[in-house]
Amino acid sequence: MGVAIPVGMYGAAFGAAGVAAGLTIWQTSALSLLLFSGASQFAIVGVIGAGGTVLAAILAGVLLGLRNGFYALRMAPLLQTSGVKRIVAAHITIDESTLVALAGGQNDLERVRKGFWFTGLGVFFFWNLFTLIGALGASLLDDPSKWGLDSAVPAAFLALLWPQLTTARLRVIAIIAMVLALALSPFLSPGLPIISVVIIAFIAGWRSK
Amino acid sequence: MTNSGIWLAILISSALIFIARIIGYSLPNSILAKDRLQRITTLIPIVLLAALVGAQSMVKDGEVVIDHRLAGLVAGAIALRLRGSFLVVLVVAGLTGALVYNLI
Repeated sequence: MGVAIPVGMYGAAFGAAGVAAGLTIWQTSALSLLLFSGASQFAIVGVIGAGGTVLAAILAGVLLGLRNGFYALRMAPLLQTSGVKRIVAAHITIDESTLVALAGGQNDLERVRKGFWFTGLGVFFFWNLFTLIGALGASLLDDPSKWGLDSAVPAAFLALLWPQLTTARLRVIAIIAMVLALALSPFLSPGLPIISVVIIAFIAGWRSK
Repeated sequence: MTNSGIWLAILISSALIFIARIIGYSLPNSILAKDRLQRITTLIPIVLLAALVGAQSMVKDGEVVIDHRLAGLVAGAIALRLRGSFLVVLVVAGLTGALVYNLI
């Protein structure tokens, strides 16, 4: 439940951003229901709001959402799901559910699974509820920056990252990734600088340390 | 973008990301048993989140800018350092960002 309020805040910000970018309330809510990956959804409405093409919107959204596939790869042996349960698990495989599940190590499987399902389903509920509230209230919130919403978003990502940076080596890797994403931003279309840092994970993880 | 174009973008993106998630769950566990892949997949959320922190706090319209969002992020980092809860971190970052945005 600790993540519910920030998720609600973030969801409301997304709902407002969607409507501000020219989506209908239904379209904004459809993204939260069907896509369900915050950064990816923000990227899509960002491209639409900036006047991008359908293809650019899809590319940005998918590139940012692809990491959920990597999380799925990570969660699969821990959850051991099949059938409908696997479909639901796949849909709620996001930053929050994966990180909460893995936060305390992987030895206690019951705790890992409980963390994943509670967080995933809880975030899904609050994310969709507040997307709707945000979309409905968008006309009242004239400028998200004025209310600090765009400042809270990167802090939310930092708060998710923070507990994972357990060693000096991991902190250096994270800083390199951030600098690379920033350095590539002027040259690549939105979304690409972020996904391209996966190369750092491959380089750093290739040899055992 | 037209209304139907927006729907197309929503539905195709959602389908592709769902497929990526299902593929992740459907690959044989033996792939993950490899130490190398295990190390790499552990690092992936870390590098992506770090990239997101940078992109969402310092990038605007494809350019690196220093603005109120970075002030919010720094305040949020201080709150994290002082072991603030998730909510406290967001409120501190949001308030600081809003303050800087409205004053400058």
